Amino acid sequence: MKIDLKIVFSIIFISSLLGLAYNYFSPKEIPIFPEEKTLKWASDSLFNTTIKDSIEIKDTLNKRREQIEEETEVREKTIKNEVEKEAVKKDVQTEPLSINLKQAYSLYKKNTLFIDAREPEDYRLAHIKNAINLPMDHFDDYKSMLEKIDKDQPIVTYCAGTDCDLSIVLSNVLYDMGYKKLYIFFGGWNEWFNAKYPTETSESKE
Amino acid sequence: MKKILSNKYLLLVIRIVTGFIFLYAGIEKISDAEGFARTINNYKLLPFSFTNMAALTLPWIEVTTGILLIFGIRVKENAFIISALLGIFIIAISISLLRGLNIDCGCFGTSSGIKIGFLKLFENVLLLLLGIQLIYFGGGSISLQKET
Repeated sequence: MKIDLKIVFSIIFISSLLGLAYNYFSPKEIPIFPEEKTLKWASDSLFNTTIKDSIEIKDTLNKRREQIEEETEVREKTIKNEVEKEAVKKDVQTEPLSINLKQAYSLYKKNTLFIDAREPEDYRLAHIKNAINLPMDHFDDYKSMLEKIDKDQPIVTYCAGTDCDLSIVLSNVLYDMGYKKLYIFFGGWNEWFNAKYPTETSESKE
Repeated sequence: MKKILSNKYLLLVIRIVTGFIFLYAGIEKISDAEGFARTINNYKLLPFSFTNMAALTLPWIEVTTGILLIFGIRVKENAFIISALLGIFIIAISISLLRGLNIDCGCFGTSSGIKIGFLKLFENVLLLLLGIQLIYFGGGSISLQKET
């Protein structure tokens, strides 16, 4: 077992050189000593600069915020204006509006003025509580009582029910006279009575 | 026993078989040096800086010794080299198995995708025994170099 170590090492050496040479000319060359990919500690200076950066970022953010605030202000103003316009539109009705029983009752609870457009006989018999009588057929006779009523005051007109149109006629007349917040309780007396909402007779009132 | 082991035709066959095995293994690794470097790195035995160096030189040593074995030139020295390499491989595989690593063997390049295991260990031990046999008894017949 005579092994010539010189030959062993020369074989290894020459082979290694061949390998390195091959690598040098190879299209898929790899670095002989690759750089170790180690995690680097972040230096403190990095954070110092980031503080500076963050101040800048803050500034830009503040600017942006101011911009946004301005924009939102403008937007809010326009929205407000629109809403107000809408509200004004609602307030200033272009025509008397029809309301249902529920709406009528909620208006009643707000002490809205109800005007009964039926004949005085019917009114005397029974009517919606606190309603006043303004019979359409004798309108000129009763006109004087409207003088007490403010023109901005909301008014609900009603008559017997869906088969009568006195409330509509009355509200139109009132509208022409300058009353702008007019509601027609189209269901009228019948619906109110059936719902067992508060009623009264003239006898009891007087 | 010694007679059988020192049979010059047996030695010739062993010489050529191991030579071709190493030639093939070396060529496979040369074709993908980067992949082989990764494989070496997976073993976690060499410092990262030396993995590329090993990946570049080791296959060429295998190829050279393989060729020289096939042609029967300096058989004992080359057998010594492959035995040393096989010894290193056996140690590396053993350590990795003990560590419970499930990694590519890289024995015949990276394309085979064979994982390390006891079969690989056995393979290497067998080759090592053949290598030692060649060291002891030389290359047998049909060598380009005369027996010394």
